[in-house]
Amino acid sequence: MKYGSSALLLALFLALAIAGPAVAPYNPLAYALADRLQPPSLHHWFGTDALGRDVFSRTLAAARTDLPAAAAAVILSSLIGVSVGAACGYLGGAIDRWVGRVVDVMMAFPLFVVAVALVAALGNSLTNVVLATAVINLPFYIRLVRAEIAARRQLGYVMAARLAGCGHGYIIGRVLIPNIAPIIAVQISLNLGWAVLNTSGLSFIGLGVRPPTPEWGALVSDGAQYLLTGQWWVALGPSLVLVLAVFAFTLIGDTAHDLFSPRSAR
Amino acid sequence: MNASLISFVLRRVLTVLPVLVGATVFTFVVMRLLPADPAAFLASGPGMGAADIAALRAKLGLDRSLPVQFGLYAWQLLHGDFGHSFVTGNPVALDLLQRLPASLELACGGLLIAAVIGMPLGIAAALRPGSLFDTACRALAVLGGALPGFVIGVFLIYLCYFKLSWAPEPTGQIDAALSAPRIVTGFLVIDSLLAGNMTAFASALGRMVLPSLTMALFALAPVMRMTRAAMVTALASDYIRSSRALGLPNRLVLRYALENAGAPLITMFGLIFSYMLGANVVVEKVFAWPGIGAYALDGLQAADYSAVQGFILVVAAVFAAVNLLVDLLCGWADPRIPRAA
Amino acid sequence: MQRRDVLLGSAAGAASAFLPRLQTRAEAASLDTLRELAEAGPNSRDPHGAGVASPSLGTFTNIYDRLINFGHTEIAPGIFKYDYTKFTGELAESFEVLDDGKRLRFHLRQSATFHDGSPVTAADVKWSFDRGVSLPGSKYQLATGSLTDPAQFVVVDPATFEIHLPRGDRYTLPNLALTFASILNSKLIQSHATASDPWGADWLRDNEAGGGAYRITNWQAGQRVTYTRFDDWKSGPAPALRQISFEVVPTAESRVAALEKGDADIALQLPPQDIAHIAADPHVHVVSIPVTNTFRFIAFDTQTAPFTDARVRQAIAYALPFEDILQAAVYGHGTPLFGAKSAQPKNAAFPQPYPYNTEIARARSLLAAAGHGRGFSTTLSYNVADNDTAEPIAILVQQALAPLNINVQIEKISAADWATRLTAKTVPFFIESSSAWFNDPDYFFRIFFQGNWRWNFGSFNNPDLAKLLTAARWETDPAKYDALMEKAVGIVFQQLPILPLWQPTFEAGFKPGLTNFIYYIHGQVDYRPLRWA
Repeated sequence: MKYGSSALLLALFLALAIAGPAVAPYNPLAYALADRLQPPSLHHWFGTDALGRDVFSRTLAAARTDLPAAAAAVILSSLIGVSVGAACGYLGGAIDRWVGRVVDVMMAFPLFVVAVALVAALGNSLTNVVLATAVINLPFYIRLVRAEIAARRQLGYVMAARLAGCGHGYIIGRVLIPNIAPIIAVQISLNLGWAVLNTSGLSFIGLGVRPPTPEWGALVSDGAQYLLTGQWWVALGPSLVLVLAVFAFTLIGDTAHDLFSPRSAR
Repeated sequence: MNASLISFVLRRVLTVLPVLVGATVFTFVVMRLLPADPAAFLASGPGMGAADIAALRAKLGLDRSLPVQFGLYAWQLLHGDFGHSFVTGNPVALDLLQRLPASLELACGGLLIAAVIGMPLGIAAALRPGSLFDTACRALAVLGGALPGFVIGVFLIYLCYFKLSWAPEPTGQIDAALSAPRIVTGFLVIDSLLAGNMTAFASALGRMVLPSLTMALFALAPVMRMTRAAMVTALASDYIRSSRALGLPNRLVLRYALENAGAPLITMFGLIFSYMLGANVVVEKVFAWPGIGAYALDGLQAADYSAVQGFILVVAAVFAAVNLLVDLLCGWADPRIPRAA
Repeated sequence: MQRRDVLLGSAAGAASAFLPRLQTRAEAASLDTLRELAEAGPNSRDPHGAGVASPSLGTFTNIYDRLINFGHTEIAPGIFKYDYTKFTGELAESFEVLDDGKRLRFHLRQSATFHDGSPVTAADVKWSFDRGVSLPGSKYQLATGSLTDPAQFVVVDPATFEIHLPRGDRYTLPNLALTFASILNSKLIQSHATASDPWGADWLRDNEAGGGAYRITNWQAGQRVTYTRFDDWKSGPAPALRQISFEVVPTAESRVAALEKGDADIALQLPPQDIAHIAADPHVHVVSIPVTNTFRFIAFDTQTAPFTDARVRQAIAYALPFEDILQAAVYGHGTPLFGAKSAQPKNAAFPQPYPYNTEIARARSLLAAAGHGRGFSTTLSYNVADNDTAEPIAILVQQALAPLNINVQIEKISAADWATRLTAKTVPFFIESSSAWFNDPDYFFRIFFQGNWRWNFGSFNNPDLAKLLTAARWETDPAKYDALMEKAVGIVFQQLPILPLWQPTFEAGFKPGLTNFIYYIHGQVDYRPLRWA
């Protein structure tokens, strides 16, 4: 059941990102002040926002912003993190110690504030939000991969590969990393959820995508200010979709974990 | 305390130093990468022009070369001087000292709630892995962590304060009309109890509830997940299996398993606590909580470099302290762990 | 076992504190206290300081005296607005304007003391002005009233003080009523001055040294300030409020909630979308006062192409849906500065409505005449801190310009960076709002339409305008002054370095029963006259 539901959710979100604009009932950018802050109805499933834009259409369109952004951030940090972590774990020695120190320092940082500072330093754009998200996730990958590789480098099959004359690059890339792929996959799917949440946190304090581009975090944080005056729908629709997205990513992580590690799937 | 413990602590404290030095360098560099000029920000008074901006830059020491600026900053840090905040007009060290307890109190409150709810659920789930209950618990925890903190916070304020009047006003740590208790620990809930001031205690505790709950929802998923994982591992260990095989009562088996899972659980709480301290920035903002996170955010928005640098350093130091504590506690909980750095 | 007991105990405690409704401010209210909630708090106690946040102006108003204060007029029952043309004595019992305004003589209240009990003397007054014209945070403002040199400030005797001016200046008295002219306890500050800091600026930032109606009895920067009445205050009728708690609540929703629940007596910086809903609440009294010295505008950098061409600026003005923008951004809570019928100024006042309406055909032809018939790309910027108002404006501008093939990218700039970018003039097209201390048009023009500084938002440089302003500065004949300024207004109408949109409304929520509120330019609360009915 779990495999089925996570696959279904994943498919749903991919479909949203690809077909969203085509099936959206309204132009997500078109404002109509006469229709501002209308409650959900047959015409506007999620209601309208303060500029009379259709919240449902904007939520659909936001999948095209958020999913690629989260994916890009995670791909970036996992690529760098896995390479650095694997090199350190495999080679050990002075490099490992120094990288370990740097990672220790990074882990000690209040990561959200570092992300805010990075976006402020690099300039306020979606690209830089992606970069900042990638940077703050980096230490987790390095630490994880380093530990896993270090634990495996003396194992029999690695020794065998080495005796067979395989180079270090081959051993890391073809032997060790495929072996820890399940662990990385779990981390990636968890990180996808974090990446979306991080983007939304940045939106809350005004950093992130350029208006009027729809983005889940921005939609939710815009909507939050209407909660008190009773216009709960501005935040509700995007919140539900955001929760569903983070939920889906985590579920996929769990599924991947179960699929790849035979011991816990017993 | 025996000599080996003291030398262990000393060695661990020494390993913290590179982290602090690294944090100092990194924050200094990142702050100097920011395009904002504090002097231009400050020169917002009527008629202040280029000459005044230059004068302000000189006064702030921003006209010197970066290495010199860093040297001066490091020298001041060594003397306990974190610089001066433009936003509050106070020395940064004083601001941080006053605000750190509020942040720690909130993180503790959140962690406590998360532990009280998350650990029993995690243990129960571990006892029946793969069951419907297990899946439901995990799904619930993930849902709690899937919403940004500010949404949960605003929603709780709307429901519990505005609509239902269950919770007190979401503005700070204690009702301003009450005189705050004498500062002993800095935790208002504890200080008011120590002072025997029950009105202040009720007010402080009441105001803790919503923000702690917001933080707890965030921490619930990791607490449950890791409790479950630690317990599954412990329950699968040979020694529990033998206990079971010997027919020991379930209650006793569970207790052994919990003791066995103690070290990983302590490590987890340490990690989550440090993470919460950095992540509660937005929650502090929503609840007007006078913590260091909201302070750092205000500082970033006002080009207040010393404030932000001070904040990052303090969080790094707390992180290191918590790690040290975790190591000591793990050693106490699990004597098998050797005290080697 | 012990650990578990602690856990259970505190959980039970939490539940009991949570469930029964706590006594709120509404139930505990008394008639001589006040609780005010605001978005941000004061950061200085030095009225001449640099980088002073606007809430500090409220602090200065209440903890320091000036020689004189503005008069005020009632605009609604119990609500007053400062009158910029009338002055009343504050620390000065009376004052005289002598020698055609070249000499101002002030008779100080003989019984007045500072908070530390020492008497207020003319020497303190002189020292305060000497300090004001020496420190960069205040000297430029005081200079607008010809107050520039310590030699101008003369102690006649301990109770008499004079200001000597090279010529009579209509801006001198208004400047004396601003917080920049606060009277400080000179001996106290001097005892904390150092060789590198002769004016004690570092000390005064963190301490108070005055004799105003209130003393600060608790100062938690960024969180709360407690003001307690100074019972020996002599410079006005004894204030009714004994204690005021000023609290910082950054989220607007929490301020609104506390106001509607009756937990706050005054809430400032109300979000425009909430005003209608709050005003309908019988437990809240919303005060709305049109602000005459602040305006919201779109600026063009007239030194950067394509905005160097006035026709491009005009084309943009003709393309904008002004009424929609006003509704979208502030729900109509503002005085329009667009839609004037005639291209000629109605009078010499400024800001006044500009003669621009939505006329797309005209926009197209102007753009074509400027050689941009095919459009262009540009970036429209605003300050992140200004997001609530500026984002809707930006979105509507972006969509309105698209049919002209003007491709607008919206850029949010961090609050910290905004001042830097405006000072360096690296934003060609942006949304901003600004204020001047006084309403006279020539004063406004000197700040916003000339000079090489941040406040000349359009980087405007027009020799004709400069001549008119120089002539108007010292013109004492009202008819001639108006004629000069009407011409000046005509120039900015046509040249359009900035495009004004509206003047905002000051909005505050009061608990019913609070009366005698006086609105001042700075939009902070003067606690001295306030009382509960």
